[in-house]
Amino acid sequence: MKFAGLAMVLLIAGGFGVTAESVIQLTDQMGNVVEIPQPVERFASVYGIGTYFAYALGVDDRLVKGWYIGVKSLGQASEAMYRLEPRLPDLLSSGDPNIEEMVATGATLIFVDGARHAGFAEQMSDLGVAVIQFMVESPDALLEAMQLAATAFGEGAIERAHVFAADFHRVLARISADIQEASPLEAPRVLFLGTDPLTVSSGDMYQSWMIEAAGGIHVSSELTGYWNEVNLEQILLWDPEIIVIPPYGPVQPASLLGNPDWQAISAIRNGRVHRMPRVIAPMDTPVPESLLGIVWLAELLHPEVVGFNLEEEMERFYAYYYSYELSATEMETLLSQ
Amino acid sequence: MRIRGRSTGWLLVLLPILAFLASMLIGRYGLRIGETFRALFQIGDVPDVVRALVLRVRLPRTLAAACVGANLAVVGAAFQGLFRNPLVEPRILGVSSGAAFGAALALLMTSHLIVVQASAFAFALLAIGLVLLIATRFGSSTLVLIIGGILVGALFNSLLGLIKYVADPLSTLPSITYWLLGGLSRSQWSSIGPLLVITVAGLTFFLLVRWRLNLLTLSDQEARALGIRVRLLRTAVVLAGAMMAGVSVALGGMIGWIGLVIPHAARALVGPDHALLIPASALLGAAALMFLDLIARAALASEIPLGILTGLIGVPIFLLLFLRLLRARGEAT
Amino acid sequence: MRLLVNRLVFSYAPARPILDHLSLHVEEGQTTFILGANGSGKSTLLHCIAGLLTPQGGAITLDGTVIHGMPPRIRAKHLGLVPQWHEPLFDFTVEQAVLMGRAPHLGLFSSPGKADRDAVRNAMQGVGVDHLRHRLYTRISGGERQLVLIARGLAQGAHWMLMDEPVAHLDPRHQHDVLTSVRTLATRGFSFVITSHLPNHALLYADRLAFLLNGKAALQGNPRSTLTEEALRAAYDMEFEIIENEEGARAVVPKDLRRG
Repeated sequence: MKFAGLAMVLLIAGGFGVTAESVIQLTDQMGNVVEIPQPVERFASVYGIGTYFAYALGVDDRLVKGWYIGVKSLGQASEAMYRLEPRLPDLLSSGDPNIEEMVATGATLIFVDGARHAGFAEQMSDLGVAVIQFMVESPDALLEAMQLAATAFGEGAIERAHVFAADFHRVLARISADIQEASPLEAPRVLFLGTDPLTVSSGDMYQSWMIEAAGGIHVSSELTGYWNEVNLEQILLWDPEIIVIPPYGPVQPASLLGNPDWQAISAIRNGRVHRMPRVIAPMDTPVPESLLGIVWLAELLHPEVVGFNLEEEMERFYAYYYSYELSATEMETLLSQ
Repeated sequence: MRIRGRSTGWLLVLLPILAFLASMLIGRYGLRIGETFRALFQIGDVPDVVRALVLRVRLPRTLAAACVGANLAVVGAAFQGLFRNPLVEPRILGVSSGAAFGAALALLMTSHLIVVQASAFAFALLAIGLVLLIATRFGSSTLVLIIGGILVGALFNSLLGLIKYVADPLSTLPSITYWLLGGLSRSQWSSIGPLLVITVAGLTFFLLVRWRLNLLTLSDQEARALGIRVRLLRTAVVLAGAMMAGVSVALGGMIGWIGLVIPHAARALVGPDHALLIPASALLGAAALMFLDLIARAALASEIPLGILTGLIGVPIFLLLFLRLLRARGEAT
Repeated sequence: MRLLVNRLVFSYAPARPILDHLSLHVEEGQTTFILGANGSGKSTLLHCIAGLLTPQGGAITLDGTVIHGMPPRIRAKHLGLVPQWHEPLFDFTVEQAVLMGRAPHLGLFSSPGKADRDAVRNAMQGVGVDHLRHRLYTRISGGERQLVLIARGLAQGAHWMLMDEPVAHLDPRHQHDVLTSVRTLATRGFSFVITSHLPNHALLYADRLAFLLNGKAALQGNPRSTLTEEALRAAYDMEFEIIENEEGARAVVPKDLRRG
């Protein structure tokens, strides 16, 4: 069975070799040099974040299999996901990637998380499939990742990557300027929770950068690594003024606001507990939508100062990057926070 | 070497008191002694945050640490006598494995603490139920109980592995792993109720039967010849122990070594007479875990899993005690 | 008072009874030896008398009361069991070990009180181990341990002591110490049933003896008349000779070892 798959891949690769116009070479975010035969007609993304790049870059029609961060099963997919991707039931995958299944898709390019699936990447490379390994936990890495992904697909994608980079810088510059203008500005202390009230983000994570870009102080930035477990006393010590709950996980503002043990925290007393909204991808992860996440955060932290028209930005974003029209209710959800 | 008499008694009473005070006064959030006491005894005016910290964060957690420490130590002491084996700890009957599985199962589906705790406790009881079932079928000698415990423990460990396998590696699996490492960070008044109740009931039971436990260290024949209903007493001890260990694991995760080391330390202080050993174990266990939990929650900004601390500190202490035991035995003959 | 074993039937496996309608009577204030080959059922008989095994037939009565009908606690106040030698695991003191004998006098939730501790001191003095009371049970000699176990039986309040090969692991000096203590206690009204592999001990220390043979207590009586060469041959399937010196002391010797 494996040989059939192997033969098939070699045949396809060989076929491409005959008809291919060129081979593109790039260095991925783990330092590997990758050769990608052009054009890429079929690709897969095991990297839950990278899958969304496909939509932003307008190459989602070539996607044959995808892991979507925040969506582990069809049951978890929102209506918006289905509208974005009608082929979702065929494309959606989750859990550990299976080599034979991947070969069966006929994908010639695979996006992979360099931190978690390096082994899988190596095995697929040995079979002659091009693999780009990503490692994104900072905004620069996000822009670089978009560029890399775009390069694999050619001109149209590359242009959209540039537009995104420009948008990104525009948003950051705007926020920065607004904050500068209104000085002295008090930067609020922000706590970013995970899937549990006592799980918090560390200073190494993307969320940490987002908070600081939005003009806040990330209270748990002293922590390192991934999500950290803390206790209530430590949270009391940090005394955040604003608590942000991610768009995934079971924690709801009401449960924290109503918890008698948390009442001494400033954020609870002032009712400043907010759950990040979500339409497609979770905005606190390094997906293109994190652009909107920053806008949302900035508005939350400095409502009087930051001058975005949130409604406009959101509509524009979804229209351009996802070719997606926000419904009225979706817009309401996004703005109600 | 055995320290006897009044000084030991004072030491045993003083240690938990010291531990309690330290636990209430020391933490990430610097508090002054005065305001801590005022908050604790509800005297005078105290800032809200101090009151919340003292009464809603430190006090329940300290009580939880004391209860879990006392429970595990007493059950360890009782089981060591019951199984006539000084290397036994509460885990031996599969209670912890059952609880671990129950918690992991619940974590797969929800993150409500109450559900996780209830599930852990329920499966701990199920585990001991299975062991007792094996005992009724094959006779409740200590050998059968131990083998039953090993089998049931192995069963639940495998099932736990299965759960880890299907758990989402980004959110659920870390939760399970973290729970397994042990910790008391979720000890609030709303969650420690069952622990308090079962601790009081369990400790009362063991205090009442403490002298009689001596007789379980004799062979079954001798004990029965002395008029003891061995099977009944043994089953009662196993059940009570399972409940105390089960509720402790349900709240605190896998906290090991306390049940093994503390009884040995207590025995070194007061001897093997359970009439003294049981209370001594309870006091020492409470003190030890309060001190260790203090380190777990105050040393660093993030929580150090308690199970890691008990292991790291428990192992060298156990080695020391064991070496002394071996040397003493060597001198005897 | 008499301990009467009346047509006792006991078997571990259904087809083969170990004790086959065995009858025996034991008098108060006497030392009775039970002799027999391996597997003849000595320990089984002792455990039946102690109430640890339930016979399939027959009855054992103590002064008319059936032993198996007694609640274990009451039984323990009459009968004390001194088991075969074993390695004790925990470092109890002698006093704590003897104190365990008070169990039948204490309820489930009670701890020993002054009365119990007094009874323990009396028992230890009675056997002559009071001077050892603070020593660790694991650190005294084998002979001293046996005496401590007898003291425990006395602390129970028991007047009938059942001892299962009590001196098997002891050196001659300690064997003698234990068995003479037994005889001394017998003169004070305590009764002993002792299983043994050593016919010579029966010659020296027994008031009565019985041979277990084919599941029955054949040949019961006093040593002088019962311990004969024929009895020994029947019991152990071996030739023995009983030699006697001028003062009337007797000893059992295997025939084929005799020199001279």
